[in-house]
Formats: sequence, C-alpha cells, structure tokens
Amino acid sequence: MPKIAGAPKWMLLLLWPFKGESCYPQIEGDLCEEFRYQESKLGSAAARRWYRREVFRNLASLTFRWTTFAAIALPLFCVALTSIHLFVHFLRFLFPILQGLFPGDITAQIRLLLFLSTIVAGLTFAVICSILLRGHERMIRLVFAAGYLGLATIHVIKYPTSTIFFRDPVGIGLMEPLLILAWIWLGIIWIERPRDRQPRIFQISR
Amino acid sequence: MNDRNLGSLESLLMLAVLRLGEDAYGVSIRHELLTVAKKDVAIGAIYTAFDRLERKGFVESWLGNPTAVRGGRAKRYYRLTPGGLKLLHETQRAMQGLMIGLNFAGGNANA
Repeated sequence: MPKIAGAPKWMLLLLWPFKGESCYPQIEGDLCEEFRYQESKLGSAAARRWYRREVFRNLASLTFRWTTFAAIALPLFCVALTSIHLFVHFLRFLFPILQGLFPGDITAQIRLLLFLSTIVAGLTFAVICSILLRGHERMIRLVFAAGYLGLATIHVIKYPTSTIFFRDPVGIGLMEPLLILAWIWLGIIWIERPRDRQPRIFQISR
Repeated sequence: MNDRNLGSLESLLMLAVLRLGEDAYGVSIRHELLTVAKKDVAIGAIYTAFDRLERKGFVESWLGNPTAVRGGRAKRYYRLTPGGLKLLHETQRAMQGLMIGLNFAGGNANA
C-alpha cells in the first residue's frame, strides 16, 4: 500500500477495534482521499488537524451503535459468568467425571480439569460471540482482554503471595483468566481467518 | 424502526445517491451532503446508514478499482434499487402532502 505522506496514519490505531467490519477499508480510503484534497486546499498542517478530527468523529459514530454496545456487553457478560459461582459449579460437576477417567494424583487431576475448563469456556465464548456479532471480532477480543486482564489483576492484588498457577481446585486463580483469554483469542482469530484470506487487490489504477 | 420508514439521514443519503448517479461513493456523497444540504456527517455514520439501507434492500453497492489517491483502497459505489426509488418517491409525496398549506415564514410553521 502506498504511504500517504503527511497523514497521521497512526491515528487509525484508534479505529483498530472496527477493522474487521466491511466498511473499514472504505473509511480508510475515504480519509486518505479527503486528506489529499484538504492538503491541496488548506495546507499540510490544517489537513493533519482535519484528519485527526475526522478519526475521532468516526470513532464516535462507529462506537455509538447498538452492534458495538452488544460487542462490548456480550464479552463482559461472559467474563462475569466465569468469575461467579456458576462456573465453579460447572467445574465441580466435571471433576468426578475426570477422576473416573484419570485415577491417580489429585493435584494433577485438578490442574487438568482447570486447564480443560479454560479450553471449553474460551472456545465456546469465541464461537458464540463471533457468530452472533460477525465483523466485530476485534472489539470482542479487546473487551475480553480488558475483562480477563482485569480479573487477573484483581487476583494479584487480592492474593499477592499466592502461586501464579491455579489458586485452589474450585476457585478462580491467576492463570485461569489468562488461559481462557488465550483460547478466546485463538478461537476468534481462527474463525476470522477465512475472511482475511480473501484475495486483496494490489493493483493500483489511475 | 419500521423497515418501510426512512430516517432523516437515510433520506438525505438516498437523495444524494440519486443526484450523483454513477459517481455515488463515500467522499462524493459526503461532499454533496456538505455543499448542498449543509450537513457535515462523519464517514463512519454514512457507511453505517448505508449498511442499514442495504439490509433493507433500498440500495445496492459494488466495489470499484483501488486507486493510489485512496492509499490502494477501493471505492464502494452505491445506487438505489427500484424498491428504494419507490420508497423515496412515496416519502417525498407524503412530505409534500403534509407541507401543503404550511407557512414557514418567520421560523414558525403555521397552517
């Protein structure tokens, strides 16, 4: 892609959560085209100011939509779900099954159970959120990251001396949110992949 | 909102597309709204509204060629579907009907 001299393109990082949406390439192209027009009309400094203002205006218009609110609310709901007793009961239900399958060291069983639960939870959340809110995968990933890193931070503050691995058999430890987050990111990136592989046109005409 | 009702931005966008004809894409539509309708609308808001109109079946779009002036990004052109044209016509007729007998002089609309 050719560089636009002078345009503060780093400002587009603010629109990163919306990059998966179908309109994003057009927004980027329109900003680029209009920047050139403003530059020829008003000069470089004014055009850069215009570009920055437009990025913020687009950020606002893309944020205040019900789909964006849903892409924020649904991951937050999932984070809340794994941080309350409902998820703990789910683990308690799984534990006897796992004991039957792998008799032996109880600590290893607990760790395996927690590890498996993070896979199940992470991939389930990734699939549900990606299917329900197609095109908003980056926003979903961002909110999940904020939510689970927040949970991990709370854990570190509450239990500063605790082991960095799982706190106890049925409680939420430090590693659990991080592992769920890793599975969510992997799941969503995997779901997103086929669309990103669509052929991109590099030929520049005119 | 009912699928047969148009919001004010949606109506303006459809009129802008109609005025621009073959050259109706993001930047030209934004300029048309700015110069003719005196409305400064963010590009993101325009595409969000078009997305809605496209889902309702009132406009259709297609991608043009990527150009250097757009940093290698393609333009997305829009045109009204026959259903969209019909709805715009109905909306315009309804508005004209409601406006008959109104006097906008002095900033107040009085019958």
